[in-house]
Amino acid sequence: MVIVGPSGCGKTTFIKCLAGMVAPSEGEIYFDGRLMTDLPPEERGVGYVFQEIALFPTMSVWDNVTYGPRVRGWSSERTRRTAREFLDMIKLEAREDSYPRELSGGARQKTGVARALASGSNLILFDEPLGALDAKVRVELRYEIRNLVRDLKLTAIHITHDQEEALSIADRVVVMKAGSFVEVGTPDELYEHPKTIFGANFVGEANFLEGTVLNADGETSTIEWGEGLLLESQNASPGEGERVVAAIRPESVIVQKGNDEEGIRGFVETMDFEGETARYEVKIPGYGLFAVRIPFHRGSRPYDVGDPVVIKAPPNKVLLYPYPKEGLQKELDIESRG
Amino acid sequence: MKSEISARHGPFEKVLASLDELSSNTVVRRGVYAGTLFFFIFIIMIPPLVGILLKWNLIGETIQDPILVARAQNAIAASFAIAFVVSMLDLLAGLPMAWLIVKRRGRLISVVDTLADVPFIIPTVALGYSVLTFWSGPSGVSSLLGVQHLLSPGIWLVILLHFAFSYPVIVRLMVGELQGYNQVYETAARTLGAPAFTAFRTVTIPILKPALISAFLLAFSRSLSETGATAIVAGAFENGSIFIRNARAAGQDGPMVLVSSILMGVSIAIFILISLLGPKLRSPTKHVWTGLEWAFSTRRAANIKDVSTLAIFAVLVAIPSLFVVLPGTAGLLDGTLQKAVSSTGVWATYWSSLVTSYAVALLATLLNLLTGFPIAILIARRKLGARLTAVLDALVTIPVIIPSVALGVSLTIFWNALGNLPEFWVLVLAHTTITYTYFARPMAAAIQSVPEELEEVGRTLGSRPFGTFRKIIIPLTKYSIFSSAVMVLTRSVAETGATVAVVKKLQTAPVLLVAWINNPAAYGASPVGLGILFLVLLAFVSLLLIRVAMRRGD
Amino acid sequence: MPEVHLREVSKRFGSIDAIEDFEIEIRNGEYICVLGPTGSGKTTLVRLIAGLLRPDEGEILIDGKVVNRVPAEERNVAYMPQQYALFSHLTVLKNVAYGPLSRGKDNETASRTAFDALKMVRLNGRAEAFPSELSGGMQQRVALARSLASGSKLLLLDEPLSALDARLRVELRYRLKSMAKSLGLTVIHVTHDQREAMIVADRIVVLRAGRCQQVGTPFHVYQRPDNLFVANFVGESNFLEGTVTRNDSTSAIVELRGGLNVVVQETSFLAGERVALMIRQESTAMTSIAESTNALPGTIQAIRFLGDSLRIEARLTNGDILGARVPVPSVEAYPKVGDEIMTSFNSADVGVYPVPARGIEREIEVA
Repeated sequence: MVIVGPSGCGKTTFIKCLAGMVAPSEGEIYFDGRLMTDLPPEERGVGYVFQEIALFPTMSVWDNVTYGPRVRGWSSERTRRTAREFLDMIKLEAREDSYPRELSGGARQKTGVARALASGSNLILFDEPLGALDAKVRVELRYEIRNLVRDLKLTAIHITHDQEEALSIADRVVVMKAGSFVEVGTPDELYEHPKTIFGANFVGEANFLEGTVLNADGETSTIEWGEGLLLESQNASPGEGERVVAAIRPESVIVQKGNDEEGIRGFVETMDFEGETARYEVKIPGYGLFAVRIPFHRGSRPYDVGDPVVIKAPPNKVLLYPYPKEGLQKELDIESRG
Repeated sequence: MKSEISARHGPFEKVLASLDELSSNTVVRRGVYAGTLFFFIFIIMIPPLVGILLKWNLIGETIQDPILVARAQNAIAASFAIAFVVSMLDLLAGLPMAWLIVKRRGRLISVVDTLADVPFIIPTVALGYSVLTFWSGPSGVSSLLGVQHLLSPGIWLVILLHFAFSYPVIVRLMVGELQGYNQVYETAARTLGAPAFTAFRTVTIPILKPALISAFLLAFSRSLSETGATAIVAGAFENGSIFIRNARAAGQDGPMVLVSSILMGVSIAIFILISLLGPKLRSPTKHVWTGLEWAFSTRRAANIKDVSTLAIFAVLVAIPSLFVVLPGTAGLLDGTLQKAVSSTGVWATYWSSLVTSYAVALLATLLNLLTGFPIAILIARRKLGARLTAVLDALVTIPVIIPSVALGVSLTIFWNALGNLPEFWVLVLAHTTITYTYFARPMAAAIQSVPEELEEVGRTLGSRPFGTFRKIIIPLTKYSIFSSAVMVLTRSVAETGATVAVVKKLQTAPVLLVAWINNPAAYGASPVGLGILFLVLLAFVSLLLIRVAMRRGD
Repeated sequence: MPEVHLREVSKRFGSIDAIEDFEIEIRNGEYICVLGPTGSGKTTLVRLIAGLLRPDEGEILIDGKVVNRVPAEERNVAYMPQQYALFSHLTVLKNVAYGPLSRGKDNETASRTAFDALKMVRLNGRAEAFPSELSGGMQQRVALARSLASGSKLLLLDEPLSALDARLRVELRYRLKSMAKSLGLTVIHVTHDQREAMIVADRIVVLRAGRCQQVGTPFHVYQRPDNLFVANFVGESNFLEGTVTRNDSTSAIVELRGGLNVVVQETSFLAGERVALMIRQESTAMTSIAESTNALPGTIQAIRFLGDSLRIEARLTNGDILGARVPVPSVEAYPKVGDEIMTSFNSADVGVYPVPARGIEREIEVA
């Protein structure tokens, strides 16, 4: 399970409560039915992988990985076997005598993971394990960690602020804001049908349009927004006459050149080449900028700045939310300190 | 915590501005650093090391006398043995205390925290007198147990004294280390299943090892150096520094030089040895005695540990150190106060000795501020390259390693050989040398804690080297500057060992008081108690100032 | 108007070559990204230009003048280190005014300049706050304002967004670029995040172990990587190893292990040569039937949901692994692990490179 949320939302505090490093003010924690709330970390049998990695600097890789077994009093035979196994799994057998300062960031973090796993726990807590690493390394390592956890059939709770990381490796994702769980769901549930505006904004990118429901006949609703523009949605909608916020993901729309088709008309204002995709910001008169993202095929350059385009939003991709009481900006704020 | 950056164009600002301009000039900058290095090496470091060598010839005649040699050998052996034992005991008692202060917050602990500094802050002569009256005097422990003298002046009293005054050194150092220590390592160990005691032993101690070694060495050298208080409690017992003091008093230059040079030489050798070998020492971290260590990690075990730590602190350190307040207050109440204030009789000399003490101390502090700062920058910013910086760092530590009484002997010889420098100035130089480490190294550490990036950004924004120094470094280290300066001042006022070796006519307050104490016929308990009380009160004021500065700086 | 030239610049630390023989010409008003893994020398490069380090060899020119011997305080270059280095003892306003004040402006002018800079980053309301009271994103903006207020037209940013949350990073990088452009600044922006570099840069410099690997527009670097390292570091790619078996002037055939054949349009390699093939993951399709010139059968090994796309990993019959980035399919067409699949790609989409001496894996290694 991955918990995702902005800095300061409480995810680290939450995971520390699970590990026993911080005591909850209220409530109880159970692992497999056993009450854990008053137990110190050393009695909970939970593996923990730290954001700052925290390998013991005075010990070699081997000593680090065997620390858990040694401290639990395992036989030296069992200790050796386990450590060997895990070092093999993370492909660091050759570096077992190295010290942490001699390793690269990725190797250090893998050792940290091996250390947590070698102590024999069935529950592993990952505290932003990839935060200290380069972007490319992060991507490679997240899959390695995921495969490791799956092969060993462990339960894992992983916290991160990186929503792509969350989506790509989670069975279920929890979105957290200002100390509360805002949404829970599988990655595609959360991405395709987020239940809250915050969820829609934090996990992936979205355009948010403010408008009013013109009519809602059960299957399709029509929304009026901007300067008399209309939008259709097949998703759950507030009632007729209500203020509403529509969310549309940039890659879910269909874009066509020209301005005689039906749809949202505008002019290309900016273009950003992203590698495998291109992101355009289209200026919609009476509204502002609308972001669209299209796959970028080798050599093709579909639109130039200034081109008129028409955007069509498939009704099943238009998500609707009641207009938030405290205003849209507050909902979208991802710098909140809770 | 605000600092005014002002670009007003008054005369002071003009001076600063031109200093800024000058600092951009590489030659000028290098000249300033070279100048302070020169001062450090040729005025601070070389004289103590060389002075002794000038009278090398005296040693030849001295070793002809077998009785003298035997006495000298015993004294030196005693010095090193006591230093070693006391330092080990202080480590064992001080580490749990540091742990207590850092981990457990609360009213009681803050009080304990402040009290733990007392033996370090009050002049050692006061400490010596206090320990004497507590353990040996009729009004102290002896009265509780119904004996005349529980402990007579002698080796045991010396050990108790040394234990007490090195205790704060260890505690302060370890508190600093523990505060800077990243908890995450111990937490990681505990998530892997290690109980608190095992985590501490197998993870934290190895990481803290360098600090533990430094603490040990510091306590060791302080024990070797200490003269004033030891003189009060030693009675007939002789360690190295007492021997030198006695030799000086008797005018026997030969034995004085002999023992001084041996003390110096062996100290430096031990220091180098431990610095090099210490890191290689591997604490037993492989094996874990699971049953035993779980027992040590329980709440109950922790409480037992805390209570015994506090008990040892109270009985062996705090109360003996504060005991001096009793005779002092007696002195306040029985009329001695009026005599003191009106400067009658012996009090005239007392006040002038106090003035001398503070004059020397202020000058030493000033010299330290001016010459210590550039050296601190050189060390903190590694301007000489990694290797030379390490060498400089070690050199700056040397004044602390050399027993101060030997240092005083050496300096006197040196400056007298060079031309007759007035006693006062030799004293100032001696005090500057002795306290040099107390300013330069904490300043280096404070400057190091200011990220170099701040200065770099300042420079790219257009401020010259001196500009970034005064606009960024000084504001961010001002509390360290203040507390280090006060520390230097306090150490200088309390200094006895070297002073005794240097002065023939001048008297500083501690020297005067030692003379009073060792002459009970002429000076009763009241004047002594009161004289000491004044010193202690002044020291407390300094302690409070340091505390305030350190709290604000956090 | 700053132009920056580096001519054969080298910098050593002890026995390590932090920067080797580096050469670049940056035009006035350009936004350059220096892209590379940790330890590739990016920070050293920026510090050389800022004047905090002196090159061992070569020349650094700013506006046509050799500045090797010019101290940092006289170069008029705005430098923003990775942790922002805000002065914690000064208010936000005093921080931002530091530059103008150091350069001799009086209090009033400096404050006004500072205020204007704060308005640009939308923090004029927090002028009297202290840095420790602000969030990470706000601190970054203050650091930016401080650089802008210095009046310098050359901005050196060392990983300006790395300390921020992923989501915030995405938002702020657009703002960074537009601000730089509207003020006509020349920017050198260091990062390890290739997506960031692609979006903000006019040109990208790919750096590895102190050596420049490639310089070009994002488009160019992405479409035509000069070597395997760049091909791997920028974008997501597949790598296959094989031998050229046939080469006529219009196309060539490369045989992979296990006898699988790939048709490519790169004809500069001779028959018998060992080559490495590079195919972008978004150019690889995973379908039930063959759709392009190249179609290799395989079994699905893993499926990752990335939000706006899927990443499917398939194991070919010869053991090689190919990854594809595809748009999210409808529920009916959703693939499963274990499904038999056809991996297809056009011959025009295959990049061909010589096999490096250390092997492909070691060559593209970033961790």
